[in-house]
Amino acid sequence: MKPEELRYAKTHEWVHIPQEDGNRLATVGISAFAVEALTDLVFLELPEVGKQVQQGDTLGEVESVKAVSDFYSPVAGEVVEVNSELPDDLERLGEDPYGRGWIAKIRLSDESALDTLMDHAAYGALCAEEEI
Amino acid sequence: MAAPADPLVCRLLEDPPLEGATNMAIDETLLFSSGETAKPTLRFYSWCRPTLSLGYFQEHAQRRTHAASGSCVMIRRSTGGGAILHDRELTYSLLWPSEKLPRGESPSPLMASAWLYKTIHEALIRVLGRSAVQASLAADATTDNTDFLCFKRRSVWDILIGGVKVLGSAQRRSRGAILQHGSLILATSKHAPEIAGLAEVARGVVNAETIASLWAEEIAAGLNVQFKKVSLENREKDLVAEIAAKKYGSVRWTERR
Repeated sequence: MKPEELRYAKTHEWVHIPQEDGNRLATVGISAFAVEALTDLVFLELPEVGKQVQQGDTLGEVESVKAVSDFYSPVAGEVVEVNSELPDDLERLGEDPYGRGWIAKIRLSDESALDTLMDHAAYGALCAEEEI
Repeated sequence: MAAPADPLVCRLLEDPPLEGATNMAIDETLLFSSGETAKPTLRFYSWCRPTLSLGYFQEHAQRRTHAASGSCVMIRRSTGGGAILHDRELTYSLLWPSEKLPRGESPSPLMASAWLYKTIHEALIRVLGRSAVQASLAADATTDNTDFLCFKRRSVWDILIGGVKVLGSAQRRSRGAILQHGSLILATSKHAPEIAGLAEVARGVVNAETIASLWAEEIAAGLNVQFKKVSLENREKDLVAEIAAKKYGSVRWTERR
């Protein structure tokens, strides 16, 4: 997936939402900027398949060398698939955060809050502001 | 030139020795409070019995690899890193609201705060320096995160004296605040004889109360805060009791991995 085609949460998660109508399936992950800033990731805990989340709910947890942090769902819906190979191969997050580093697929239940997500340009401006 | 900002009021708690589950529940309660009120808190504490704390992601079965601590109570922290045998140590926690972070520190709950590590750890280096003890950040140390014990690992913000790690800290970030807590080893414990402390590597500076007092002074300067000595509020005490019973004191939590 191309980063320019994704949408982003302020908390540095990305989401890809296909354009077609109907029962939409979103793919989510953590941005390259965040992965780089986190440095030396050592553990990642995935959500359980079947979990219902609202936008902003905790989706999983990640441990870098210096902090344990939650990451959040950028969309509302049901977790229908997780990247089960990821916790044992965290290098994927650094190498291909928008592809093989995806975290979960979520079947959208409510699209009303999608407008609060940023496009690539707005997210880039946020990252520049944080100056990490 | 802009005038320096007024110091932020920071609560200061000095607790008596407590059970491990209670200590962790207090830190978690303070994390909630700090996020809710946007006020920071610094806490110094110790442990009423030798206690082994696992890092959040460690597997509990790994404790079998460390025979010396086999008889000690075990808990699981909410922060990462390696296991710590809390016995002859001074422990601190700092709760800092995300909205009070300086520019350049990410407000995102995903990111660690280098500023807090640097400020708290450099404050201790200055305290030790007052006793002519040369301590430094392990900035150039080879990172090793595989050992079961935190104090056998090395990361950039650890404090070393003559190559021996005496202070290690870890962070947990929530939506509204950051918890950073850490252990300063005062002396070797018989339950972790391979770990040295100040008594072994810096004779003469092992009085915990003196260190805590001087450290708080240096932290106040580093963070630009003014301390106000307090006790937990009643609503916080209720939450501590609940979190200690349901989470940190439960086998389900401790043995979740």
